[in-house]
Amino acid sequence: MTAERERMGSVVGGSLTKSIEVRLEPGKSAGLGEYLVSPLPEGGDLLGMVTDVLLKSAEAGATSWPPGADDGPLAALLREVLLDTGVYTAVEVNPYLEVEADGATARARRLPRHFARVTRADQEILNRAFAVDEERGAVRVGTPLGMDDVTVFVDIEKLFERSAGVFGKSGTGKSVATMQILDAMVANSRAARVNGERTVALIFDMHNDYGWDMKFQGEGARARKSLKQRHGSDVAVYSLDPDVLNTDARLVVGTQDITPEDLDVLQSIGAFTGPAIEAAHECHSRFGRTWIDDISADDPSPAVIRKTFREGDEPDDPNWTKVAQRLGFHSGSFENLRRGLRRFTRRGFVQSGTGQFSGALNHIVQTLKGGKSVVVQFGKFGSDLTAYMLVANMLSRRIWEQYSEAVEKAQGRAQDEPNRLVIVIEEAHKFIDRSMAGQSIFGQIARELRKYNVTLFVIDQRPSQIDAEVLSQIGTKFCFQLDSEADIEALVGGMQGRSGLRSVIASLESRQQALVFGHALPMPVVIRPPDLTANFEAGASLRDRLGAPPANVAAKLKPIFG
Amino acid sequence: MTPGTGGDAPRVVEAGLRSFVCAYERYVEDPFRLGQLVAVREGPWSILGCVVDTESGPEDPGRPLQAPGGSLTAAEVFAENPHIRPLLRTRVTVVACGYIEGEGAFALLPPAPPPLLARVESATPAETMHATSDGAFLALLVASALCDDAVLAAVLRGAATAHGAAAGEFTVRAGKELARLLKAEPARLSSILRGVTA
Repeated sequence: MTAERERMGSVVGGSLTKSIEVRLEPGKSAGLGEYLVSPLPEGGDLLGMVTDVLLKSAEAGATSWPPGADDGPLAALLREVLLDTGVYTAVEVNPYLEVEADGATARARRLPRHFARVTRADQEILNRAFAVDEERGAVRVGTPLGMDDVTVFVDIEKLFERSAGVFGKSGTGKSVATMQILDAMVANSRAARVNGERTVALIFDMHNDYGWDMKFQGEGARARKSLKQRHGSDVAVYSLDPDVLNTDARLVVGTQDITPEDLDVLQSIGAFTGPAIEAAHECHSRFGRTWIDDISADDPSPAVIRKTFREGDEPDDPNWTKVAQRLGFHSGSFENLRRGLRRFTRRGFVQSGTGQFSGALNHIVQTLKGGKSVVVQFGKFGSDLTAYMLVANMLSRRIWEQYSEAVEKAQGRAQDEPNRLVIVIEEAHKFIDRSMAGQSIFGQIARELRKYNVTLFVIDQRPSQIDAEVLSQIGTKFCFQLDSEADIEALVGGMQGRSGLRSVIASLESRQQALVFGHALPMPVVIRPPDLTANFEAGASLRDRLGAPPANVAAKLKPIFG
Repeated sequence: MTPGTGGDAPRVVEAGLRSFVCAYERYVEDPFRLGQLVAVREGPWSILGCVVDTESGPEDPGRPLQAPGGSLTAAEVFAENPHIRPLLRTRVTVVACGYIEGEGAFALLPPAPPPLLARVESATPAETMHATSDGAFLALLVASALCDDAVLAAVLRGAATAHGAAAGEFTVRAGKELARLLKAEPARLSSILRGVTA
């Protein structure tokens, strides 16, 4: 097997904790992110990823007195003669995985000997390294760089066993990758035998990409079919915007449905100050469910006066400044709260009173528990970060509470537990930044891992702004191009061979290249995601991809067909 | 006439493992050329060597050659004084760069020096290609104090000619070998290759 692989060079030095140096043979080249293989002394192969390319000289002389840059015969001959003699190319290879002949894999703990032969990894060894159980669902994440004939799959169950994230600058392909992953997840859930085996998603779709269709900047049509169009009966779409077509229901938030806890996360985007949030808690406590309608009014109502001042202490000309003073708040903070709430109530998806939020919430929970994914589309409110954060926080908190309650109630009986839920949020750093992570429901979900069968799938441009503790709980990371050193460091900090991974991320193309690493993969891989063609198929089980019947169907067919 | 043969072939008059000296029986105007590969085919193996120096003069160093006056050319002087030529000798110094035993060519010192008085002849193009194909022959030459840059350039030029259409590939291959041998001496490498491309 090994003899068939393309020879690349030989090991000339290195370290297990950093990288191996491989001197390339004349005429060979390897790029960042490519995989190389070298035999281990006691058997098996070491699989590693190229994390740096080095131009080296055997002696200083060749580079101190280099050949001329002219086209004369001497300079040309000297250049040719010195290549791969006086000067040569080497690559640094991060050692990641030991692959045994029987297919077993383990984290790299040994190194090849000096001068061990190094070959380019081929489909066969990558299949062994990235092997997924053919009975389990898998998502096709793409082809490793420089290996167009190799496809890497990720086990969907493992991917969402812990929280996952897609990171990258705007326009790098985050949304397309996310859609492909979710598409595979929905397809896989559909193939599940029982509801409890299904993983469903609650997607807060800020840019209206994951409902009926998604905007597409590639060749051909400007839009591609998205989840609802591809999996009509397995996806329900809710919209805050009444003008959005192809939805299952509209979501309206009643002022009486909003609690101060729902507003906590809005501090991070400056919608409310800290004292204003404190005032909100006090108002909610004092005025009850009608608190928003009460304090959004131009003047304090008699009911507000009654609940604020002791009998006989009522001012002659009551106003909000006096109410604030009586409640013990600075009038400026109180005004901040009132202004913010009035801005809310002017939004089309907020109605005075109870709206139909509770009913919609229950419906969403039942939909999720029934094995269907839910997309909450924001329509024209998609550019309104306040609206996005409020609704995502409101729904997530309540649904998480119901899930955690159901899990506690099940007391370990798997059949009574709700199916797995993945909450998909964009602009995640706004929800779980350093100041808010402790209060945000999303920080709590990330930290709880999958204790309550709920995990996060975050999509973000600024991972460095996400609370470090929360980020460390993100199991699998899809990292598209990032420019900021801080963002790159935030993602690879603590990883084995992080300096190499930093270089790899920094060298990613601006579109359709990603480094994928973490819990669901045995080793990092730089991939080119599959093209989002009109007939795109991201995954489902390997059995499905091969056209074989599901295992349960096959078992039923066996007595009939032998 | 094959260059360097000068009619009768020279014979080995001083022999060592690393180098030997051969002499023509008289003075010749066209001895082996600098860098030419020569072969001693007498003995159990053929020893190949590279011409590193050639000198001509009186056989007896105590009787120096007196330069005649007048306007005659050298050929005219020799023609008018036929007794002079037998008193002169041409000696060629050769550095061993390998040997051929049976079908095998080895870029190593020969197991024994060439026999004294053995005839020294030009290596054939086939022998030259055989001995120089991988550039390994250069190691013995570079290691010899008798081989300077001019000799190495000349031997590469000559060997390239023997490789015919593959002369370019041979030059690069041999140049790479030379670069490995002279890795700490880039100036010397440049100097030799300048001589090759001149």
